[in-house]
Amino acid sequence: MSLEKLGEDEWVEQLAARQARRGPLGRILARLEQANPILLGGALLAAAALLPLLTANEYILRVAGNVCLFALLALGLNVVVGYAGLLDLGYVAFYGVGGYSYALLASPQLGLHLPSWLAVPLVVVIAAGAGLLLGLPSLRLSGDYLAIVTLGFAQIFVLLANTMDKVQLPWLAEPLNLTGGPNGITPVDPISLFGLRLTSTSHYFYLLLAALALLLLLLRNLNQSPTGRAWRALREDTLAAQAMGMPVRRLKLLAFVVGAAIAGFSGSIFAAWQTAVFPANFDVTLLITLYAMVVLGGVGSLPGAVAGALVLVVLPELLRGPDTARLLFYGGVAATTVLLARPRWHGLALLASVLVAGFLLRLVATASWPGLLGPPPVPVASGLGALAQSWLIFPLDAKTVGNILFLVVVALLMLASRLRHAGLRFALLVPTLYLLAFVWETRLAVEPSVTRLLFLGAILVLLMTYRPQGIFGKPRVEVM
Amino acid sequence: MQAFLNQLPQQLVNGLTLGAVYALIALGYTMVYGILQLLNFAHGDVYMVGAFVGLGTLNALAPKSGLLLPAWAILPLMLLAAMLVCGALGAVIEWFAYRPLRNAPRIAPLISALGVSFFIQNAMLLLLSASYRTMRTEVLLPIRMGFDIGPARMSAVRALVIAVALLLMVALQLLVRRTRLGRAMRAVAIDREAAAMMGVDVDRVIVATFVIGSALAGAAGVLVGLAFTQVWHFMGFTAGLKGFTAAVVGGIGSIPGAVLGGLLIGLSETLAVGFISPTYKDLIAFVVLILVLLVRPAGLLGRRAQPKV
Amino acid sequence: MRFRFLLVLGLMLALSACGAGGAATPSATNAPAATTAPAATTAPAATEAPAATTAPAATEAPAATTASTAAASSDGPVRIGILGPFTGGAATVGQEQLNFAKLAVADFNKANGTSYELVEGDTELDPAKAVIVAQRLASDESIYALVGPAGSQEVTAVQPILGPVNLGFISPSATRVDLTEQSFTNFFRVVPRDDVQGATNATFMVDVLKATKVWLIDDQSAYSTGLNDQVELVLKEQGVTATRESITQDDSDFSALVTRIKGDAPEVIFVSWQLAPQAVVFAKQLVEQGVTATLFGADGLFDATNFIEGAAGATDGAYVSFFAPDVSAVAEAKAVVEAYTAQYGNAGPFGAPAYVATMVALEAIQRAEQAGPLSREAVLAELPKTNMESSILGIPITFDAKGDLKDAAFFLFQVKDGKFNLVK
Repeated sequence: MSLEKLGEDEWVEQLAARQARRGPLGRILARLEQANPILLGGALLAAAALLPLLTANEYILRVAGNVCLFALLALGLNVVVGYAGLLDLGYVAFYGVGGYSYALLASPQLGLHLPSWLAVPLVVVIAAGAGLLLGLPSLRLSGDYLAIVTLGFAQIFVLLANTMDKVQLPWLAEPLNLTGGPNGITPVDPISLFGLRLTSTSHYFYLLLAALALLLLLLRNLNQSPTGRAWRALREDTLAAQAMGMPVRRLKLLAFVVGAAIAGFSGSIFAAWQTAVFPANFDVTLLITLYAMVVLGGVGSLPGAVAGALVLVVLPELLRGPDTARLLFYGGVAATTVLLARPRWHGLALLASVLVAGFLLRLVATASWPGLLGPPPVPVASGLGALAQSWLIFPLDAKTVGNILFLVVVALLMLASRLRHAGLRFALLVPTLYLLAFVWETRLAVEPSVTRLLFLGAILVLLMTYRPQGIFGKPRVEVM
Repeated sequence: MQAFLNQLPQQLVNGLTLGAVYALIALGYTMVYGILQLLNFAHGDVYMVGAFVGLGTLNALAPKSGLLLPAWAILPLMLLAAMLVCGALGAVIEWFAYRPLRNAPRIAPLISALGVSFFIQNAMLLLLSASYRTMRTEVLLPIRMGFDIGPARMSAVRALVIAVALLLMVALQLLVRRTRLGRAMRAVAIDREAAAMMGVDVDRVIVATFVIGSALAGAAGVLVGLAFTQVWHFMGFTAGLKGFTAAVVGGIGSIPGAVLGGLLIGLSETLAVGFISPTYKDLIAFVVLILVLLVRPAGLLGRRAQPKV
Repeated sequence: MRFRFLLVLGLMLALSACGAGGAATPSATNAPAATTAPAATTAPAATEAPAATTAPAATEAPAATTASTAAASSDGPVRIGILGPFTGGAATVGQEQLNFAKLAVADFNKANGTSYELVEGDTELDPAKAVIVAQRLASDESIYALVGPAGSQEVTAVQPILGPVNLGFISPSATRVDLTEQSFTNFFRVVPRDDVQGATNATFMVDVLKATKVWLIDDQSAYSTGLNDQVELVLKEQGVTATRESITQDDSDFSALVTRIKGDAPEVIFVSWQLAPQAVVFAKQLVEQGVTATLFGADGLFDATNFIEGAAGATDGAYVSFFAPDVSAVAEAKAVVEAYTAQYGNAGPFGAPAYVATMVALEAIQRAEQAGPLSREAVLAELPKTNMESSILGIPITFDAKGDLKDAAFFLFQVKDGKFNLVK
């Protein structure tokens, strides 16, 4: 499959041919696609609910809870960006409004300790109100102007949260500490549901999972309602929608408000879970991650938002541990090579050639220039790492060479990915893959924290260039 | 009142310097947006790379032992090196991360841009480590070198920054208005398909736009490095945001607008710090932005693109 | 196409699940014999890299323990974790702490024949992420103590996670006063609190510099605002006019602020910033506009390479307060700093406390091992008994009942003749 974009009709014609070519796995996946989404989703969520019973590892439960939290946020963003097509870059501010409102209503900060059944709905209302406030003036603005204004709003929220710990009100003698400044508000009361105080990670996991299930149901109904159809029309062609008499302004405002309400709700649960809120929790990096989740999963798609949240929460966590990261790296490279090659055995041949070339190079180098070689920068005693390190050769100043080769490898990879001629690509990829392994062992494995983000960035770019509609999105061709 | 008047000239000088830099960054944003309707989030990181290239050049040509070339030769070399490297970088980014997405929904190149931004930032972190670097501007232009304009002091570095920025802006304007390439760029910005039908090589024009925009960002990086001496891997983030704001305020897609927007943002930020509070300077810049957009929703000099049906 | 996509993704997740399962009993062999190089994670092979100076590293063995019986009495590798901002805007601080910690682990292992390992956890200075990473490290049974986190907010955020599992953690840089007022039994820090520094600085400003008008500028970090609060408190008591302003760590141009300060003409400007290069820009702009106030900085600025050399004279006469006598003047520290500089580059002010914190943790673990079966509770019980007579900070390390450094004091330096001169 090349990068040519086919029109919808030709695709339909080729569909039959493609379906005939499918293997057993393809047939299973196709059946799943046609299954009732509610049943399918329900089954998956029920399976997820078994997680706390399968493991007592607090870390895994916390990551799972985070996936649910981010899925909630991604769904809310999906409403604004995916359904109504508004580029809202201030979404995290609503999350922050939710978090801080809950913190102010249920903590010693202002002396209020409202019960959860009162505090959470109140927070949702407040966040929706904030959405209304931001939405109203923004209606005049088109696409990218909306983006910058909402972005400014998000920055201002963080600024205010950081600095409003000394608010001078005229009727108070001492300045009021509203937001706690950079130190945030702590402690925050946990959520209590029907008399049960939620304190442990699994409690919050269940709460968030339930909220996720409910929201998915709600949004699905909303999507299929007249409002949802109106939003879709709005997204596809605003002018036409307006010409058809749709209340464009009201619809945009509604999208804003719904998105903000969802974010606010998530914020309140987050604040209760962390038992604290800090301004640092709501920075622009989070916004970027949320956008990446929505787009990765497919803009406008419900399972897409959840899938995006899953990938972008779990993947960085997996890449944290050097052992896991190494496994993921080598496994990923090998798998990608084999899967993207056509026919498959070309990929295997490539991997084999790289291994052989590496051995040859090692033989030649150790025989001819032993003085130029040294030990690996971070020796690994056993396992995959040790294998790799015994196969590669390392020059003396591995760090500098590694740095230079890093740039070389990036250039080579970019070149190789765009080459059409299969033979040339093969020839180029052999040294590229070898150097990739070398750079991994000398520089990337040494600094796992930086490597994580490097890979995240690379994955985002690659994902977008190869599949701009995301995992669950439908390919759309913009007619200019 | 007296204090206000005393400080004003100096604050104007300060604001002008800052504004000139923001304008250069905004120009890159605006040019790319005008042609592709793409918000190039990686622009700030190209600026950062430019600053590092300038730093590298300075350290190479002016090591601790002494200057290898006279100061008036080193400065243009720094600018040239940064502009070349950043221009090339911009072209590579366009080729790899944006070209495949020409026909994709608008949000896809946005995420791709974010990915590129992440990648460049962390690549610099990996290659050069997290520590701040200081550009030793004082070996080229001593701190106290400068002249007085009334009660205000314009140091040599500031004068250089403003002069170079002005020069580049004028050069750009000449390019866009007086050359064939500039005409092609304007045509593609108005209507890509029509320009293609008129025989304009759209791909080449787009690449040229990226190269020029990125080169300007690189130059801005060097100038900022010279004026404010700090160079670090995260510096592109805030500068990019400010440049983006400036481009929007001036009317995104309009080159004189970007200049105006940059100056406005730079001045309002400086005056806000000087006369209201440094703590809330971002808030005030934001308020300015809102006010401008309320009065003119397409930016100061922006033209509301008439949706054609 | 989509399915192939999902397939690749699924494969990778499956592989990593295997890896994660494997990592719990890590692939690195537990070396009962002492000297195998630490596996995969981050302790730099100080013995390997030929360029590094290895001999001096041996002298850094903390005086307390001699080369002990190397056989680990626990089964499985013994590790400590480090939490800090290794990427993102605060990476400068975090990376320095991380690298010094790596060095400390290598030095300790070399001197004592142990094979302790370091696991890093990147918090990106976001308390929410700090919580996840802390949880990850807390769930890893082979980790017996933690160094970090770096920021005071993060300490507050991770305490509910580390408390229940009895994991002791020692912060090399969280200075907020109330952190040790909340009876956390597992929190320690090797740097003094803000109220100690605040009082020292303010008193100096009033008594020695005879200031009547002071500007206090923070960089909106928790550390900076907390410190400025303390200084302001004392100054107000003494009847000095204190003006508070803040900038952010992203700012690179302070000329507008300088012009404003020039109009107000204070005698002292106190900048409690964490980033020395920022302060240098500020100082240069002060000189550029002819402002004559005295610059006074806090421990973040105690970085000779950046604050003095990088300033080209703009910071001459400035004062900086630091919680240790000049590290480069301490004989022990010299070798460590040299080793660090050879391998990682410039050593700033944040690294040495991380080195000390790591040593404290490792020593506690070693003592716990010698006392009986190794467990987190045992290590936690050993931590308050820390008694290092000397450290690379040039001061002895013991903890008081709250977990603070005992007899902590701040030393004031002035920049003169290209170096920091001890003033008080």
